[in-house]
Amino acid sequence: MNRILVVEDDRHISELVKVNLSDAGYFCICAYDGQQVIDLLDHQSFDLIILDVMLPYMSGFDLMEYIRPLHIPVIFLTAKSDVNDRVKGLKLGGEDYIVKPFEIIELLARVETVLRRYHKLSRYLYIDDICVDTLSRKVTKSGELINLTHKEYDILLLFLQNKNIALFRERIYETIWHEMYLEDSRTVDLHIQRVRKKCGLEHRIVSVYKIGYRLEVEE
Amino acid sequence: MKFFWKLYFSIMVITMSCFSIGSYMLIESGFHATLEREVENAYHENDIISSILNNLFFYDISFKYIVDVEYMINFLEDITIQNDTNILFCLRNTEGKIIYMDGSFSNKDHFIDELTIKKQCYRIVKEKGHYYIYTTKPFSDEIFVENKREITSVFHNRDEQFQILLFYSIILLMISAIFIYIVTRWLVSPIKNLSLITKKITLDNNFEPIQIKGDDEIAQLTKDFNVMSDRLLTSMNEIQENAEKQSLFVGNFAHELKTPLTTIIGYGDMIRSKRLPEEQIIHYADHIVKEGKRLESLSMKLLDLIVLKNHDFTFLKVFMPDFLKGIEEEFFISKKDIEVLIDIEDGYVMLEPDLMKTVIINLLDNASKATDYHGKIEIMGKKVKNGYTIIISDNGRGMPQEEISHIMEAFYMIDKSRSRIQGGAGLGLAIVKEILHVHHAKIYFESHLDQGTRITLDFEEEYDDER
Repeated sequence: MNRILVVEDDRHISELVKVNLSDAGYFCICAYDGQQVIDLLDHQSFDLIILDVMLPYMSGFDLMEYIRPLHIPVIFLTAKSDVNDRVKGLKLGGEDYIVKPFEIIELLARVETVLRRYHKLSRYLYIDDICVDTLSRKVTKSGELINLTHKEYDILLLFLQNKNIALFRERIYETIWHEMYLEDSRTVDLHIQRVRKKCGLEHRIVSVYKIGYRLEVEE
Repeated sequence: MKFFWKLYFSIMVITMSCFSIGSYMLIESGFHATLEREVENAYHENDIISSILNNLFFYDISFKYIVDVEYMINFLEDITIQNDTNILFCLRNTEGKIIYMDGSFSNKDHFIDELTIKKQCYRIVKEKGHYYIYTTKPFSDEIFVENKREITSVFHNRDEQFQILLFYSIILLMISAIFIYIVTRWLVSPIKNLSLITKKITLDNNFEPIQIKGDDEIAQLTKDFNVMSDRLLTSMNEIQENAEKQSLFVGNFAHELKTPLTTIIGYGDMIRSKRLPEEQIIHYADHIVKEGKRLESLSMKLLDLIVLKNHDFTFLKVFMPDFLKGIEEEFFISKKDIEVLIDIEDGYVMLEPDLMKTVIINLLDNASKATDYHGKIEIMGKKVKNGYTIIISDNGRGMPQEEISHIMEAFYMIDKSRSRIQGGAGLGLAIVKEILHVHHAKIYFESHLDQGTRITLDFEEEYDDER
């Protein structure tokens, strides 16, 4: 299980990030100021740090001086949307920069990307008897290969990475097709129908009324 | 061309031309004086010849028309006029023809015609590199005496003097070139200094006043320059400071706006996309409502700030004891654990009651937030010589000295997390500042860590007299 340190002084936001990352299967520890971060880093190891910039006593940028030698990837999560601040954050060694306010699936996607870049994610994802090999992009069900098209594979992966989260049609479309979603498009529904059928996930991928779909898994 | 070289060459040209023209005139006037003396001498010689001739032919001449010129010539050819100086002379008749000569004279070069106007005249002639002066005077009606005198040395002297002048001019040119260079450098050096410092200011925005020596025009300019750069730098710094404050305000504002928005959007997103147990939904919805309220109060406060900057207010004469006691009762009705001491003297202040109530409540709110338990807050009103003073003091946490200068800035919070928990947006004192500005009142903070804070509000009387 990947360990993530969430550094954020606002308790509500801190809780929000922690709950969502925990739901996505990460282990989270929260710190509320720079001193706590330093204390925690002295005794524990982390796979990723999510770092706010405006913190009491010591800014996130200042903390980078301490974090960089530890070679832990950092994602900045801050209200500072100025280009100069983004550049500064990235130059100081940040892997990514998320501007508040953010959406949960964006946070999850970026966390995952960074972890994958650092080879800290497991290669295989499982659901029921289905196994997805994220490196060779092969999907097997009870050991038998399932033939999926590119888009179908991407959709399945998106659901596996966002378990128990309702995915909006437009969000799915924009993530997979990289295009603007048109109001009455049935493309997403058709593809999801096919994925469901091929993988036998009819009872797992449920449609959410007026919104989209959700992959339901017991916790 | 540089100013230095302009100055240098101008001084050089003026010096050299004055020297040359002066010397030239001096030589010329000396020459003319000598020449005049020579002319006098020549006339004098002419007179000597005339008198000798007169002596020789005294009787004959007294009978002018009887004198036989032929006879005279013959006689003269026979004898040689004895004179000490070797005077050369000739005699001419009315047509200018030489009738007798001692020395070399020519028939052509006579100027007897000029004698019709003057009694005597002279002419300077150059012959084979020598200068001669010729003078003519009438001896009798038919005979004119002309003599000749060499004056080459006069001309020669003048030429020599010109040579010397040229020589000394060259030497002087070289010497003055050096001296004028030094003098010009000395004159220009303060200007150079000034320009160097100007460059320095442009480069690194750092200003050190220039040392002033003497009190000439350049010293005056330097003084003015000092004053100017000082003021320029001050206003530049002010502008920069304002820009920094502005950008800080915008940054802080964005931060204060985005923090509640992040919570609202995040929890909203969770509720809409996850299937959650009911108590969690209530818990998250509570976060949303709380942050929404924070956003509301933030926007209302911002609106207050904007309104304060752009509005005129009507001021009323307010009796302070009633006013302050009213606020005190209203404010502390829900805060039973704080001990309140109140001591207010009678007095009137011109103010806008609603705005001033905001100020007092803000200050009381800060005071009550600073005191944890066993809190004690003191409200005092004092009639002073030039107005009225309100003092609000508490025995709470206090704040570090270095923070005091910042606390009036918008969004400034000494303890951010605590302020947020207590529902602050960091705008309270910024609003207080604006309201007091509208009232022309002054505010002073006095604070010591863990001892408490004392806030003094000064209202001026002249304001109270206005209406």
